[in-house]
Amino acid sequence: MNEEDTVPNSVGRILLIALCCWWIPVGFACAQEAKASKKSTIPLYEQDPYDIIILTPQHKSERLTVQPLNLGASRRLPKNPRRTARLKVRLVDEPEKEYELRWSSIQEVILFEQLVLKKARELTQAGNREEAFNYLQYLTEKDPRLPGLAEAVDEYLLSEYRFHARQNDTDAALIALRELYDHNPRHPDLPDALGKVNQTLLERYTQKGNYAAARTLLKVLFEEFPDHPVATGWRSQLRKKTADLLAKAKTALQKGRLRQADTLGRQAMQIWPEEPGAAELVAEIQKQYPRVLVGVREPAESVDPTRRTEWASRRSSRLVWRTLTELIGPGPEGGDYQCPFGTLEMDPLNRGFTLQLRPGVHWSKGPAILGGADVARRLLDMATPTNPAYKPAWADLFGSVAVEDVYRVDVELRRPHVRCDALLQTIVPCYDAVSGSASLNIPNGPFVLGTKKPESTVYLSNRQYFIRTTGQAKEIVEQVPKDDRDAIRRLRDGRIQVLDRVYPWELEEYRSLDNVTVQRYGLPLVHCLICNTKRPVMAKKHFRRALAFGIPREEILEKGLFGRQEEKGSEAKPMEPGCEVLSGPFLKGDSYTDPVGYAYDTSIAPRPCERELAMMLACVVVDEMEAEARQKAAANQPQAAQNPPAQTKTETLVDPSRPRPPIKLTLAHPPTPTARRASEKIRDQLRVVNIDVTLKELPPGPLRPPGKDVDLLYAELPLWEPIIDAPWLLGPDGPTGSASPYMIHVLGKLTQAADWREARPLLHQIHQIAHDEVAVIPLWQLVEFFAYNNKISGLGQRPVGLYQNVEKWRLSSPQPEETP
Amino acid sequence: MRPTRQTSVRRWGVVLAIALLTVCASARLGQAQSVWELTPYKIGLLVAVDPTAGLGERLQQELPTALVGQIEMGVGAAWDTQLLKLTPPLRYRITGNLEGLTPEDLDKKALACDKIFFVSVGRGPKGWQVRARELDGRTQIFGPIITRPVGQTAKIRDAAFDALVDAFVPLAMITQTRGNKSILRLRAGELPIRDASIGQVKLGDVFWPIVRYCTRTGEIRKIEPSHWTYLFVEKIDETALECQVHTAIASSMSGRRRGRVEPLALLVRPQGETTKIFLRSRTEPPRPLVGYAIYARSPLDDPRNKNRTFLGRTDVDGSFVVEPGRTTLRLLDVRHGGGLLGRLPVVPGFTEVETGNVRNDDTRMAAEAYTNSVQEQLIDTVTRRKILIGRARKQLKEKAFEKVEETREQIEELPTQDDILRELGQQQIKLRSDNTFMQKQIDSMFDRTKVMVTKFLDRQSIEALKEDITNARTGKRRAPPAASQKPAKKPAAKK
Repeated sequence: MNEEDTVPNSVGRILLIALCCWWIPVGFACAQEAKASKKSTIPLYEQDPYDIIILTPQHKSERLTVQPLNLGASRRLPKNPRRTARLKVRLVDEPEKEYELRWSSIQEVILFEQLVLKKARELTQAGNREEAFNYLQYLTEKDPRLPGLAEAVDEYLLSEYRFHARQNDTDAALIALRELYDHNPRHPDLPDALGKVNQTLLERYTQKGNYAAARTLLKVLFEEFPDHPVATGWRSQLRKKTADLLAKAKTALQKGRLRQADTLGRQAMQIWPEEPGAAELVAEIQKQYPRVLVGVREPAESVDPTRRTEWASRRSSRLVWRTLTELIGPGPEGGDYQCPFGTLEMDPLNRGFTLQLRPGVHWSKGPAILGGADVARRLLDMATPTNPAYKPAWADLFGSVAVEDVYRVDVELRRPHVRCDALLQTIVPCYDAVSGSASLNIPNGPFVLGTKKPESTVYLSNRQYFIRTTGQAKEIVEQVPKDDRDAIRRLRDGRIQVLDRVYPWELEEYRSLDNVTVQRYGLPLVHCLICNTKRPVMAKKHFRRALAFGIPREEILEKGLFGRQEEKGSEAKPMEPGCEVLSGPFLKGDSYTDPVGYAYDTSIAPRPCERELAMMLACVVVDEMEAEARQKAAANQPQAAQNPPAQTKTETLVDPSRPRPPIKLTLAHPPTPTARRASEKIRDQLRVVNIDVTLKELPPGPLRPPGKDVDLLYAELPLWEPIIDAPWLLGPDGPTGSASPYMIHVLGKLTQAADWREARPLLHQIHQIAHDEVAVIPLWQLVEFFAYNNKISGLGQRPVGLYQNVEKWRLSSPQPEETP
Repeated sequence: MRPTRQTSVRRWGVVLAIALLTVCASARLGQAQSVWELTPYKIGLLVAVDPTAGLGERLQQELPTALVGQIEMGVGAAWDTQLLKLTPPLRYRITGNLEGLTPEDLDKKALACDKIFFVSVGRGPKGWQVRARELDGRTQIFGPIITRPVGQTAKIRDAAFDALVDAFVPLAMITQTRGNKSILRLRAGELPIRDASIGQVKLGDVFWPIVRYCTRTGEIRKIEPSHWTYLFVEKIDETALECQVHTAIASSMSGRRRGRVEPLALLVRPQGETTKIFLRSRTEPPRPLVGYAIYARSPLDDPRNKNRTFLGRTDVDGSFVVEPGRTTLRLLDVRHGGGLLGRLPVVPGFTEVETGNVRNDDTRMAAEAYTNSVQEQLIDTVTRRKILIGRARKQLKEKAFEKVEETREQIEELPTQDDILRELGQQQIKLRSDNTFMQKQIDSMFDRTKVMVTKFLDRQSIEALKEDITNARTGKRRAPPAASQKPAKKPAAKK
């Protein structure tokens, strides 16, 4: 518009403009309405942006909807524009035409951002928090300095807090307040709100004994509001409680009640570790009475070291008993065995050994000292069929024993054996001098059993332990956490120093804790399904193969146990080293050269999961069983027509589309979470191939052969010395209940192998036979882990058992860590 | 030409001579048999009383005579008993080491007896004990030691007689063997015994054959007890015992024997409870046969009946303990895998330990395990093939040619007939046995497996699939299999 136009023209034009302007807004308004009605479902911030100009009353207060005004990068209206200055606008409906408006004719300009902000506030007030959040997020990203935005966000966060507070969701309420604090630490409602929320949470935490969380809460509150009455009040309260406990601990220490002092000291350190004098007192208590708290997933029903198939017994027996030889780790030729009572020297031709005992090895009670006669007697007991200590494998090998000079024992074998020291993992009991009977209640380990309760077992130091060292723990307390969460909390908070077992799905979480070390045990376990071949369906080899084909072992191991999910677009995480699917019931080891896998034939690949094949084989079994039933019925009725002879399996490859009833099996498993979880996965997967599995959880105890009503037995086995373990597992008297003649034959040859040159090929042969016969369905080898916090040291690298180095365990500074 | 009178007389004379000779010969044989059965046992008795037993001199002196008298009263004509000279060294041996006696401890006169009884009287747990043992003079085999505790001196004579009578083992001669049957005749069998229970033989008793070789002068050249051979009494016909021969050795009872040969047999009296058998292979050196299955049946069972009682398996040292069954003799089958390796007759308790050599079944067993494994793998391979072919056909129907191709490649990757047959061939070369019979069994297993492989892994179905794939791509149809050609109708010949 040209200011130099003549007045009439200009009036005309103005009139025209006014007219147009009149029409335009009207028309546009109509169009807007139409558009608005279309756009009403789309959030405002996702619509095409626009501004609104409201004209002065002289121009009938027209609302013009225009494309976003060009106000510079900051999009702020000029504060006092000149009345005659013109604003260039483009109507939304006429974007190609540019108009100019005098500021004098403009009553108000509402920018798009302000519209969005207004909407956000409306939504917040209406309680539509999710939508409000989206609006505010848009504005925060687009124009964080928008006037009014900060207040709107405050308002929103406060409404969040109020909402969660009404729902009694204190944690969420606290999060909202924290955000409000981060956003506007000076908000007037903050102190009061924070006070209420913290009060509730502090009460909850202290009630549950979660003082670490309480302290963290207080720490944050102090940082935010140093003089907050809730913070100061609670601090005083906790400090007072701590002081009281410390006083009691001191009294107990002075009176010589060391265990009580330790307990009180620990409790004090849980509550307020920074209390002056606390750390020193507790250190002093622990110096006089080192006491280690160990979290165990399963309490030990028995401390018999021969119950090797049971995790808890295997673990805890080391506290109480030392055996004639102990497996301390893998060696270059099978396991590495050590004699704690002296030195064991094998004959170079493996025809015998000499044991030189050290003097002064006592049992926990009485003056008796371990001598050669005791060892000799035990070896003879192990070779006597009527003796409870009888071991057939030892009896077969044992030739003679001679004792010289009290402490020297010479043993001759009937034939060479590559690993006879593995057979000597037996206790040497204290024999009564008069009656000669063996007392199994006088152990010789570093500890003796104190008190036993369902939730904790106390082991007290054995004063007569033959290799007791200064600083050795005086007490070990095994505590059973209530559940997995309790276990991790206890370890993290320092209420236990060690946890005996970290399950595969927990590994990442434990590894993420700063003050906790996760370590693997020296030797993995072999997980397998032992088939009860006495059951009719399990007696069929091709059915056992069907099970092996129907279980996706890799999938169960990776996803079911380790909880790994595939993430699109990213590489799959490598599997935990040492954990992998097996093709036979032997350890494979970590690598091809790992000597632990000496029995494993790596050329035999594990059976892949082939569900269709599994289903077909299962169909064959169903048909066979139906045919057998028919034949049996016909045999009982001599006048019935003779059935044609049963066809071979390859001839009866059947029509799988014919519906068949599912085969029903019972799978028993030990009461461990790993076995339970894996068994559930196996059940679910076998359902796909028309095999219905019922799970049966067994009571705690050593491995027993499957009961009459059990088809499969899940087992976690320490098959660490295959040359000894293979005959036990795969022989006719083993848990499977039978063995093929060829297997028996090769096992028999194995027991007579004089050296590794003979033994190794036989073991590979046994692997092949086991793979073919599938009396034991191999699942995987699983590395086990334990965890300990940074307040204890000396556990050793990759021990075979948790307590392998218990004599070297040392406690360090007693302060528990704060919760991050 | 008609025979003359002179010729016929001569002929009849020859016939008569032959007849006479035959009669004389059989009479002589019969006479020999009769002598055996009609002659009493010549019993030599040695009674030794331990001087430290606290028995009076009188008893020591009177006991032997009293025992002879007791024998006469209790046994009678069947035994001709005499006291033998008891030298001090012999007394010492009898009282101190009855187990260690040997025939060399006796003089010729003693050894000429049919039976020599050693009776030892000494201290015992109840006061005294009497021990008796027999040495069979003909076979020079000692019997078991029979012990009787005695509480009173007055009972010593009776106890000694009881022990002696229990120590007595009847001797028989094997007069005839035909196939697996033998006829035995008891020494002094025709003579009555006052107490019929003494030396009684009943049905189900077992005799142990022993062959005695003598020189022309009647001295013993060799005594050969049979191993793993027993005679089971099935029928008693007056003095003849009809026995079934049970043996683990093919020609134990047959074969011509030259020279002066006496096939004798002693009644088996097991004293122990069990016998431990060690099974060894017939290789050099022999190896214990571990895990071999032992089945048992009784001689009274019908041999055609296949039912056997499973007793167990040999131990890691190849041993197996046999316990008594319902009959004295037990017939054991030694099996390994599916095959019968040997039959062993055993009298549990007769000996403590026996060693049996059977053929080593290792190679056959390995072959059996291998071929079974191949057959099981064949099932899997055939099943996989069927699944894949079915899948390919479905994909073909859906015209998903890319997927069909992938499936077809998977089928091709499965083991083929040639692959498996080649491997079978290689293994068959490795698994060879020196034993012809066993090698036949091995070959049979491999042949059976090869037949299965050939039958079920042929390429017909794969080729048909390939053709169908090609046709589907090109839109053609597979030509139906050639139908049987009917002969074209010939026009009727014009007459």
